Amino acid sequence: MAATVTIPSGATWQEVAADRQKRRDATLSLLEPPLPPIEDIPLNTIPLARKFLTADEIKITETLVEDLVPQLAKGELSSVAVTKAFLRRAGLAQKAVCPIFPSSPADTS
Amino acid sequence: MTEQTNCITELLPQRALERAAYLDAYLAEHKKPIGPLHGLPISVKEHIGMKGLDWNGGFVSWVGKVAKDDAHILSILWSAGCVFYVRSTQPQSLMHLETSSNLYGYVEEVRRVLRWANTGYRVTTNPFNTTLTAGGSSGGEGALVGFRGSCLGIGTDIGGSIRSPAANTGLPAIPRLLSSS
Repeated sequence: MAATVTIPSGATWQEVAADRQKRRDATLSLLEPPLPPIEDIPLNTIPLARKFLTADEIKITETLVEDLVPQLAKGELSSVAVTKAFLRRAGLAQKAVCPIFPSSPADTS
Repeated sequence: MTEQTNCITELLPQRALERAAYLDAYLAEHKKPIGPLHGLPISVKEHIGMKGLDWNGGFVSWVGKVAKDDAHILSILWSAGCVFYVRSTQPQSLMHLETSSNLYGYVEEVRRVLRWANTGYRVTTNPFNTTLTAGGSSGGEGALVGFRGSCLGIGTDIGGSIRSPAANTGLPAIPRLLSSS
């Protein structure tokens, strides 16, 4: 049995980490519209964007930054639309990631 | 078997959309952009202090330290009109060409050897092949920009921490060193 390591507050590092990860998951759950659970993540995750994002989101997020900037400045694209698209794609990048290992704290094998 | 990319530490949807709405209203009212990067969402490595958010350097014992202000680079980018919408992973202590920490994900073999509890979260991996590393220490940025979850990301580099993830994910990088030769 490994020794229990605690930080000054008395919490174990596993508790602190679980708390941060819970916070991360909470921020992901704020996505609108929400991303569905993703199963069968391929070795190369890039094609997942085609499967889970809208055509508009794909178009925006695959526009080069030097092309996005003038469109934003002219108001051809709204900052809200661009931000929403990148929020969802960043969420997908993380979700494509859903923990696949058993997350029972008892599992220390 | 599927693997995770595990590249972000938190999304910032509320503050980002509020900022984006403000910028849209500004453009509509003043008929000109607020700055050269008006409305552009950019990703920021967790290493870089963001006002009111955790600033832990990847250390479990530093969780709860909160940045009092935005880092200088963020103030500059904010004035230029950027929107901050996501924070990306960093390795514990930052001095690592890999992006693993006890907080957000570690290397599975290390976990097994040290018999740590399995939280199910693992080291940041490469979106092009999740059996490979995204590098580090700005590996969260590398994986995120490689996936196009971001069009422009801010990392930090002393000994290759921007260059290594950029090389691993085929991205251009600008390491602005304090004393570049």
